[in-house]
Amino acid sequence: MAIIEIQNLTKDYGLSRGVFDINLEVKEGEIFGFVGTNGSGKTTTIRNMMGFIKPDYGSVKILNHEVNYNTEYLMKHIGYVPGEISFPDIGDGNAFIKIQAEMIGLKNMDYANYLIKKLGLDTFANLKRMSKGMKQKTAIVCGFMGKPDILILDEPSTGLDPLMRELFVELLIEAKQRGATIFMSSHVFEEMEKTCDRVALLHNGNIIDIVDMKTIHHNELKTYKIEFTSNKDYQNFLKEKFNLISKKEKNYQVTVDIMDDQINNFMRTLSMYKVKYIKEEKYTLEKYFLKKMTEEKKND
Amino acid sequence: MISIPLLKQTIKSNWGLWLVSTLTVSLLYIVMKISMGTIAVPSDPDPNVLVPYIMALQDAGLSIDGLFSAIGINPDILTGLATMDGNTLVGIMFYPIVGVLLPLLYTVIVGNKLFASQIDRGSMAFILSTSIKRSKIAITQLTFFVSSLILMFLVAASVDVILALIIDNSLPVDKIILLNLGLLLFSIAMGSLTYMFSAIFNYSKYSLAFGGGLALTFFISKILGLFGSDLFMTMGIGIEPMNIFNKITMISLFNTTSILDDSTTYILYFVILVIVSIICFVTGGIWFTKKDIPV
Repeated sequence: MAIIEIQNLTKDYGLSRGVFDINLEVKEGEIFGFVGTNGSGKTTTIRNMMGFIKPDYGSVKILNHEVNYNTEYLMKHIGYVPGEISFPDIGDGNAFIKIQAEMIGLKNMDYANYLIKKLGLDTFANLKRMSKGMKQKTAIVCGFMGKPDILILDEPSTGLDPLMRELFVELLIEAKQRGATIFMSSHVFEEMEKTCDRVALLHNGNIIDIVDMKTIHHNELKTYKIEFTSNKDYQNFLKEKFNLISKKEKNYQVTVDIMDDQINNFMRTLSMYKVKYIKEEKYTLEKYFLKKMTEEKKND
Repeated sequence: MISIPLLKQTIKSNWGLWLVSTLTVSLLYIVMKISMGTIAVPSDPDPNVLVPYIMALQDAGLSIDGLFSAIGINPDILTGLATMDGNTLVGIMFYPIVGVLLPLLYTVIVGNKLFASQIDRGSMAFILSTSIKRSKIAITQLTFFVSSLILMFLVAASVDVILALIIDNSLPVDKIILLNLGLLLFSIAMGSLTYMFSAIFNYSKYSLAFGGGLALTFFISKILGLFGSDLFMTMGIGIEPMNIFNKITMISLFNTTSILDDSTTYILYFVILVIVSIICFVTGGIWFTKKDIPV
């Protein structure tokens, strides 16, 4: 079942800023990633999903209800972490979390306290003097504490240190195991690779691709980089019939694409050469994204 | 109708300013009333000194008016000054100029904080992402704003009434209550304007430019208008064309002259202030429920 359905969503701010004809579906229990360059329209899409702004054209449906300014009843099911975090001037983090819990009608604070402890959040720090990371943690606690069915997160890990990012990934996985559906925009490819089921690539307000992470994780095509000890071996290897991606004569280096079913043949061939080292070049979402972006820029 | 947690949050983020404004208004009352109280007692002229002067003028077939004209002062000023007392000054100059200052500041700053500043900074996202309706947000903020002003003037008026009871030669208590009620109604109307601009604009700079700009215009016009007022005209220092400023400042709807001379114009003006408030609050509230909020 689709929890979030976005159809032909268009919000035109002029000068080709905004989002144009966005279509996507987020299924129940899925973690859906949303990547894009700065100003590509991620936050605009999310604001439309939250009913903060109205599309010029098209629609967003959440749990089969069309989202608009007056769909606050949907918010009972949604936990939200804003992209730009600013708190009201009401004292310390603890006061804010408490009042936020009252606003969402949350009485049992066990999970909130668990989150605070897990993220190591000092709730007695004044809201005004919080660092970027502390603000982010406070916002994450507020978004997650109600154990909502749907989480909409706008770059939730900005400002977190690598250790905190690991903990945040754990929180995402916990939420997924609970059955929550998650829509998350991010700049951090690593956490997307670890958590997302699918990732949409946004460029200039258009979705240029939606990738199933399985194709990234279980790619049968692997890339290897090999350095030979001598020029002779290097020259001879170039005559072999492998799919050569690049070569560097100065260092006697080659990079080849090998399908998994070719791997034994490849190893046998290599055993006849004096190899200095061999290294797999990981196929990552980031590489995929950069490749797509370069293609897209050529088309522009 | 209203969201209690949001009301709590709004109180928490504004009580400091409320307290400072309320205390300052009360303090101004105390300082002003006590100092006016000391000078308001008319000094009795000593007949032994005065009579020979008048006699001398009369013997020579001259009048006091003639003496003033000879020095170059309009003799009408005498009648003007004769009818003046400290309380008229308090009524006409203190309440609509000094009295409105703090409420003006309070409504401009707090009005902006109710919506525009929260949208501008982004903290409104935390309210909008809960199941509190936008209309409920608007009504909650309205409730806080109006109640805080009422409370401010309950305190100020109480101080004022107590002062009236302990200072001799003060305005009667019923006038004092009416003057404070007028200030309250004006403040609520000013608040309704800043509320409306705050609800319309997504940036503090625009909300403040309109709300603060109007407040400043009203305030300066009131001062400039003073030169064209009846008071200044009778005192002989008036500049009649400057009366135009009294027509462009909303502070004129707080008609202290009418309150003090027992006429009923002020009631009509009070009604106008209430109507302005209702229109602006409703417009602002509805606008807020029907606009894009980019947080």
